[in-house]
Amino acid sequence: MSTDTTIPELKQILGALIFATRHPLTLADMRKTLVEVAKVQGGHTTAFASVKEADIADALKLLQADLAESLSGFNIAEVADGLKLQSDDRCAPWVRHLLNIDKAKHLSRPSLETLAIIAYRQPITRAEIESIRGVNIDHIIAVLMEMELVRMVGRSNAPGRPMLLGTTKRFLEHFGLQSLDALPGIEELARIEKTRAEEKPAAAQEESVNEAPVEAAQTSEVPDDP
Amino acid sequence: MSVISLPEEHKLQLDVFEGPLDLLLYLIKKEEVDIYEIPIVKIADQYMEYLNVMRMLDLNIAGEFLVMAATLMLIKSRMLLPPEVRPEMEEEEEDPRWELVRQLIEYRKFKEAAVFLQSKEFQQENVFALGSHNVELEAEPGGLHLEEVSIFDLITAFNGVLKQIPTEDLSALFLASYNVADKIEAILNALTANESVSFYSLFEHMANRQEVVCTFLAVLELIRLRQAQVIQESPFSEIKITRVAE
Repeated sequence: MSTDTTIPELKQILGALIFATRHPLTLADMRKTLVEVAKVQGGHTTAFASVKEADIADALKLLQADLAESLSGFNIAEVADGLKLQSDDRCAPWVRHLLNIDKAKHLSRPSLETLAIIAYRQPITRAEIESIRGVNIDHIIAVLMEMELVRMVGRSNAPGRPMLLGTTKRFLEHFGLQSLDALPGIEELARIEKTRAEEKPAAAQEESVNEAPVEAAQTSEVPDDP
Repeated sequence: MSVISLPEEHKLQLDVFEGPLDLLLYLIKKEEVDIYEIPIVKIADQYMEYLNVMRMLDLNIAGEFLVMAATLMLIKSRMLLPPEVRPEMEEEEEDPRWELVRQLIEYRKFKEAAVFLQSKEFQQENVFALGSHNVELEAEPGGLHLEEVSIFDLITAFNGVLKQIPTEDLSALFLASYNVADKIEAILNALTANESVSFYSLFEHMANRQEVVCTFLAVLELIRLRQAQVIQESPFSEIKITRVAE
């Protein structure tokens, strides 16, 4: 059947975009692409000139349902604030054998605990993490930073301007989390930090996660390509 | 308990990344006591016992372990005093355990969060995608990185073995010469024959404390070198040592 002259459906385009990218694609990325192509190329692409993110979200739901129903062996997962194509976890034994991949290395418990503290309480200084864990964590932080699961997101106004740590996009990807809000009990565990932040507003406000300082923005992208 | 000091060549520089709060939470769970009503004498005594074992094995443990030991002793002594004669150094007539309890509860929440992250990590390792996922995590360098079984589980098991060994007369200590390298080889041989061996079977028929200590250090060293791993089907159940899949 010839599809040359048929205008593709929105969900087809979205599927193609997600297929073609390696990193999680956000709704905003997709909308921007559709609008820009409509502007530059005109013609039948203008059908999507005023597409809204809500339309995209609806189309994606259809696409996800189609993939699930067709048992295609892959699905579109919501990871790190975006969407990406990934294999069905039930097919892991075969994929692993084909790619000759051993069971992945796991993080140790002390590393996971340190990571959990950073994830829930970010931005947080090393000293604050140590007071929660009750033990020095220099070594663990160094390893987590090297693995690009943790990064410096700014500096505290406390004496010595210690480093403030936060989690990376790679952290979300590694654990298959859509966003930090996907952490269970994030409100409860983070609330203590809020009251503490109110006590010393100077230290906290500079590094709100959404408005990261410039130095942080530069390091926020985790390279996708080796 | 009597302390054996290890000969120089047995010193292994094994870094332990768990801290004193981990040990306390472990003991509270193991003894099934209420975290809000910690039987401080019992827990403090056990804490000291574990601390002594770790020092006997010459593990690289954090200095914070000693600070916590002092804190526990202080709390213990305050608890022994009736409230009216306690020194009025704190603001209120506070339970001397309270600050520690608060810290333990907060930390325990994060340990639970870490369990959640671990389950997501296991789930995620079965999912493949182009790009990001092909980048594998490098192994964490150095130290004892245990995943499911904690160092304290191992010490509990080790301590159990050690307690069954009669304190031998000194001559046995001079006669026997065991070293960790030989024990590593013995364990590796056992693991070549069997997929996994039980922790206790490694110590069967041993009557010498030095031999037990060397065997235990060999287990730790093999874990560190990622030649072996330890598993435990459920908390506080029997520990098994398995080969690491090539």
